[in-house]
Amino acid sequence: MRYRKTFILLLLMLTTLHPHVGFSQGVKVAVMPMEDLSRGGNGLNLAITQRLSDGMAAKGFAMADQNEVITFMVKNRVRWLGYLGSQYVRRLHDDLGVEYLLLGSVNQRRVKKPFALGLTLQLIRTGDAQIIWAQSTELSGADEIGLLGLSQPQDMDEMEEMVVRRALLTIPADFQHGRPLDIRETIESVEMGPEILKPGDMVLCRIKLGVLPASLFYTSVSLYVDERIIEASYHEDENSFVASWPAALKNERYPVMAAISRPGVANQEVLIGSYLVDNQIPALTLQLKGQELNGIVVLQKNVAIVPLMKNPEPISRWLMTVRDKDGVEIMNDEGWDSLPDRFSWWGQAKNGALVGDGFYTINLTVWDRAGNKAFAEEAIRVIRREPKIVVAMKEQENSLALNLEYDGEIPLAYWRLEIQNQNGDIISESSGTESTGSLMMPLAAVAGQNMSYRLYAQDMLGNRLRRNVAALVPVEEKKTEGESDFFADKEVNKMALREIWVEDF
Amino acid sequence: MGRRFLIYTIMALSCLFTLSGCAGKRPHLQQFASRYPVQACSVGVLPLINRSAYSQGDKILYRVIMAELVIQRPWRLALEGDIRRIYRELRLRPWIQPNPEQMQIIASRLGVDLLVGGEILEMEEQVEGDRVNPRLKIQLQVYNGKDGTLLWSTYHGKQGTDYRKLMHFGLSNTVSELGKKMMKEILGLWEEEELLACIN
Repeated sequence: MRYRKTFILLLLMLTTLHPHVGFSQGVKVAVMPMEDLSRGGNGLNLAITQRLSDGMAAKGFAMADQNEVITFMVKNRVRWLGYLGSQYVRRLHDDLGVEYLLLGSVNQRRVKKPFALGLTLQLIRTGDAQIIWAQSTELSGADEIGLLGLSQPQDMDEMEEMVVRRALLTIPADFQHGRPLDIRETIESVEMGPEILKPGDMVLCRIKLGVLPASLFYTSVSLYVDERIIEASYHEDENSFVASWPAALKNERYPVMAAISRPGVANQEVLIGSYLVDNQIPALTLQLKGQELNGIVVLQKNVAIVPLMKNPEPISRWLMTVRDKDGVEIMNDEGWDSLPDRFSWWGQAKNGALVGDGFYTINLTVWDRAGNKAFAEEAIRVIRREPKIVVAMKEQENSLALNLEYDGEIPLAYWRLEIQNQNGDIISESSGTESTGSLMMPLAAVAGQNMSYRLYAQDMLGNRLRRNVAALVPVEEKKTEGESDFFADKEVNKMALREIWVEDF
Repeated sequence: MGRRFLIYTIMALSCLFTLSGCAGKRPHLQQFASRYPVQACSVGVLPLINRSAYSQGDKILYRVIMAELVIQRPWRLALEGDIRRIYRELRLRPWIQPNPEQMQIIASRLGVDLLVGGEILEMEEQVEGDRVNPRLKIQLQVYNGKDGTLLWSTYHGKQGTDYRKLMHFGLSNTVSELGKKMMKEILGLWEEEELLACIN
């Protein structure tokens, strides 16, 4: 009888002192699938998850079935690993009766020598969503473990086992007594928008609280904004407190504070967000980068259009159009993202065809995030005419003069005139940038030859002229008369005139 | 006798300097406020900015920081899931540090006294034969949850060989182990400078 009492006493003492038998016995723990960071952003490591689960079970914990955890994740649309928000942690407590949640990540996993494995674990008390234990454990094949490396893991399997064992070794037996439950009925989620709006626009706020549904009946939520108090009403279908109010007239940022009150619980004030009232139309100007003619930019191949905002701010939409002199839209481009630094217009309509000569306007409209619209336009001129250059011949004493004349509106960038003999050799050449020019040749040098000339020219806008005039009539050896126009007098019908008008677009 | 003792002493000291690493690099602390919040009982760790080429380095260091904070003292630590949810609601990008106003909102929503943010300036593992030498340079900032102001900032940079004790003993062979050791030093410094007061 006396021995029986001693035995029972010993058993009781052992039960109280042994860590596995004491606290952990029967306490339900769930292990969330381990995130594997060594496998990228969506890595999963079920093998280590299973090892952890087995390790916890060996400590005497009642482990939640892994399928039960996966079903919970699917039901609650938890699509990520390695972390969990407090609302899900509490749901694990309420729905599955889980008291502790073990989650974490495989930080490193090197499968070739030297092997390496790193784990980080967190044990979360589901009652108040508090982290009560955490551990980071890592091991490398290069680590010196024990004398002469006798304890060195030989493969990854051994390493996993060793790391998991080491990590779980530090879970204290009495952690549930370490800190009292600190249940905070916090805000679960806040949806407030729009973030930027015009004066008078409606702001909508939807607040979901992390409290039991039964408690919601006694709970009230008030919003403090711009010295106003707005009461939020509970919407059972959305399980949220909803409030809406018109934005104030003054352009500024308005912080929104939520006050949650419930009988018997201290009022809680939380800064939930802010919104910006913006009635300011963006100051927008356009700059066209190109050659000007009489104060208007003229298209040269393309034109760079640079939008400038006096007070740069993010925008929500932009629209660029080109219209002809009658206001007809010939092309447009638009975007819903940031405003490009510059646009380029290549003188084409929407169907890709080149537009005709004339005056056009380039218009840019931007909308800022509040919807304030700004507009800017600039005129542009398109001229695609070839430079009109007249080449005339004069006989002067013993020389033959070729005179070049240009009286166009657009200044010439350059011209070049080449005279070739019947063999194609250049016998004389001249070039310049002025609107007039001449080329002199001794008559003796060209007598009796079939000559041809080539003229190249380009104006300041890039319009080019290339003219080949071949098989010119030979100049008479004994010409007595004074001057004769190379084209006008007698050669027009005989010349194989070929003019090539090249536009470099 | 005395001469022999002197020779042995010099030899022993030479061995000690040769074999032991230079673990003396301390974290560099820069304080930005003259007064610190009386209460620093709860902390939220913001997503880290990874400026290195090490894949997932920000997440690795984040988890290591969380673990070291829990080990350091039983303060209330905001869950990573809650912080990420608030980031989503405020449409914040994790690779950009929030502005003071956003910090205030985050701290208020989480109900924490301090926010810890930071960036990884360098993280790499240099493989040298059958050994790996990790390198890590980090910068952590601590913000006041009440107004979002920067309170102090700490820079720390080390490599695995800095922790050598004798021969190959003490070497850190993984970035996570190196990060863990560095975090212990940073938190130790903050404690030493009495920056983390919590009067319950």
